[in-house]
Amino acid sequence: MSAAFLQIAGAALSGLTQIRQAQAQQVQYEMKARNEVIQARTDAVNYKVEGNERMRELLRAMSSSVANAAAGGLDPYGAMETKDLINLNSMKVAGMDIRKLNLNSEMAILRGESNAQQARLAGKAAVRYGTIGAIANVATQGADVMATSGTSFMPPKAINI
Amino acid sequence: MVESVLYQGRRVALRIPEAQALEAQAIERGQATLQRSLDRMTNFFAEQNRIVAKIEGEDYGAANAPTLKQIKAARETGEELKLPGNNNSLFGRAARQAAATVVSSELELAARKEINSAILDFETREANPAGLQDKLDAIIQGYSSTFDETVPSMARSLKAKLALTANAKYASYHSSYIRKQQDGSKSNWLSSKLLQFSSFDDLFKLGIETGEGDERTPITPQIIAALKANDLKEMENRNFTASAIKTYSDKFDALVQSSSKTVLSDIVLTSKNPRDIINRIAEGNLKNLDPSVTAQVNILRDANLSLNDIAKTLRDARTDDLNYQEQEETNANATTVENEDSYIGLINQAIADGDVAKADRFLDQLNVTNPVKAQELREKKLRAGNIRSVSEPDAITFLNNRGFNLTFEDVGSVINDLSLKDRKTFNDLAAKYQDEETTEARKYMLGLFQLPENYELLTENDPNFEKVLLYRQLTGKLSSEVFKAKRAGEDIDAFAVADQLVEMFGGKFEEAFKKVDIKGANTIIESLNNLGGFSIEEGAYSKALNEINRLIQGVQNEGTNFMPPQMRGGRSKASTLQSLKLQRDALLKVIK
Repeated sequence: MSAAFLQIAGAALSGLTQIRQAQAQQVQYEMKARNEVIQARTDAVNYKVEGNERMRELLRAMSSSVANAAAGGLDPYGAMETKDLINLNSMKVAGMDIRKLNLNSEMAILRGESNAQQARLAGKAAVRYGTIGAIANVATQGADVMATSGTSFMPPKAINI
Repeated sequence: MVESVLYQGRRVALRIPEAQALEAQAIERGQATLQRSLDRMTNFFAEQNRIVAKIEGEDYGAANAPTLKQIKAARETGEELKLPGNNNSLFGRAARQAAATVVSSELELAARKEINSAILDFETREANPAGLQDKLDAIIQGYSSTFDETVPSMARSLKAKLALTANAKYASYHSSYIRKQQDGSKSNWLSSKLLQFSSFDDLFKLGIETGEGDERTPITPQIIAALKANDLKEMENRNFTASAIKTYSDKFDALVQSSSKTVLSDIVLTSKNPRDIINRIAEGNLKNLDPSVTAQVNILRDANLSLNDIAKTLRDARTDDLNYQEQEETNANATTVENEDSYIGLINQAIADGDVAKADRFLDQLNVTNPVKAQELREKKLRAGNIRSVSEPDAITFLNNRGFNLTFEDVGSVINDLSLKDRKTFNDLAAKYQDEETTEARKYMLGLFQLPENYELLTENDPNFEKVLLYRQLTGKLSSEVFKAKRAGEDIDAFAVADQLVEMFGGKFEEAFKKVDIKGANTIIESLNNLGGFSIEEGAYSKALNEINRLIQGVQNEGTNFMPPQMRGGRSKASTLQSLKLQRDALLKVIK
């Protein structure tokens, strides 16, 4: 086997390896996308759990204010009593918290999906550019082989001496 | 009491997860890698392009470089050479460089040729090197200036190269010139000194001219020493080697001594009383001696010769002189006798050679001084019969070398170179060998017939009867041929004649042999019938052979008792077997 053949074969193997490397990167990106989705759902669930906890806390505070009103001689079932004012305030604050937690949960889901999509696109891009780079490298090596072994790129010219 | 619980807000923050631009990052990395690959590719093709442009430029420059003719024209007119290409592109630069290289090579070659030509011219004329230097400078300047503005670096390089070459050649010529001059000078000087040496004898004899007229001063050791010192100094100035100077010095001393001895011998031996002078020199009494003698003695003493040595030299010379004179007188007295012996020798030689005229001439001369001897030699000449009395050695050698092949023709071929005695001797020998040859030829034929020597034929029943008859016929023919040749005085090869006769009688010859064999076989059958009690018909050779084979087999196995009683003959087993085998061979010969 000639050295030129070995150089060409080496360049082809190198290009193939480069493509395989890009494909491996794509797999990594795919895994990353799945992890992003899982992480987003986990975060969303955590936000929901916290929202439920705030709801329970609100109910406990409202029950306490009703009970205290009754103990204090106030009509526990009367409308717009003091205890209602207190409870309204508690509901306002709790509502804001729960609303934020809901938003966080939705945001986590959306961003997770978005990042996963990005990872998948990155994987495809890695494969695409890896392939192009491999082709360019092989082409350069091929040209080098031709230039080294005397095969001209240019048409031969007659020289008048 | 009821527990009082209040809802307390915990400042829940709105959390936005970080967005990751993974695709952009991947694209960026891919683009960066691709950019590097493309850069490499671009650089590669750029390099290729540069190479191609350079090569094409060089080709163009070399192809369009000024020719030698143009270069010479430019040199003669002083114009600057125009080279193809420019300094703006790689192609242009390469073309210019290539053209400059070609021009430089052409110029260098032309300049070298001119330099060599100039040096050859100077060597031929053996001219002064100073002129050569100017000429070489002009050549270098002329050639290098043709493009010192177009390509100054190349012009300077060419100038340096040519200067180096020219300098080396100039130095070589210069040293060679000086060496030749020195060699010539040395040679001339040595030639003049050889003339000086040849005049040493006269110089020592006559002395040196001093003043006007013929006044001369005898030469002294001091003068010789000054002369030698002057010569050695001159040799040093002419760069003679130390060994050459030493050789010259030794030669000078030897010649001085030799010349002085010669002159002294001449003076003393031609004087009136040489003996007295020699004795006085030996005693060291040099007073009142001739000044020329004293001068030579002083010179020789200065050359480390003692007075005794000088006297001995003179005595030897005197002895030789006296011996010479004595020998001359002796020779003069012996001339007459020697001439007589010489004449006798010449006469003897002439008689031996058969040269009658020469013998008579010297006999007349001898007759003047010794008539008795002359008469004696004249009688000797007559006895020789006016032919040579001594044979030519080459002729004798030739005849002796012929040995037993000596013939009458051999003797005849050198007859004029033989004396009378030798002529008779070799003729008798030729006749004798001829007879011997004939006898041997007869024996030879006897051998061919397988007959014993001195064979005598008894009866017709003899098995060899036919052969003997034929042999006798042939020997008769042979004798006849030999006698015929002798009568004619010719030589004859008896063996060749014998062979011819045998060939002529070839048919009869074979027939005789055959008859002999058949007769032998019949004798065997007859013997078997008579002694063995067999009954075999004559001519039944196969049957007889079977019987003989049977007898051989029987004797081998059972001994001689197997033989019929009358055939035993009291012989041993081996002898009986040998006899039977001979009989078997005889029968086989007939059957074949």
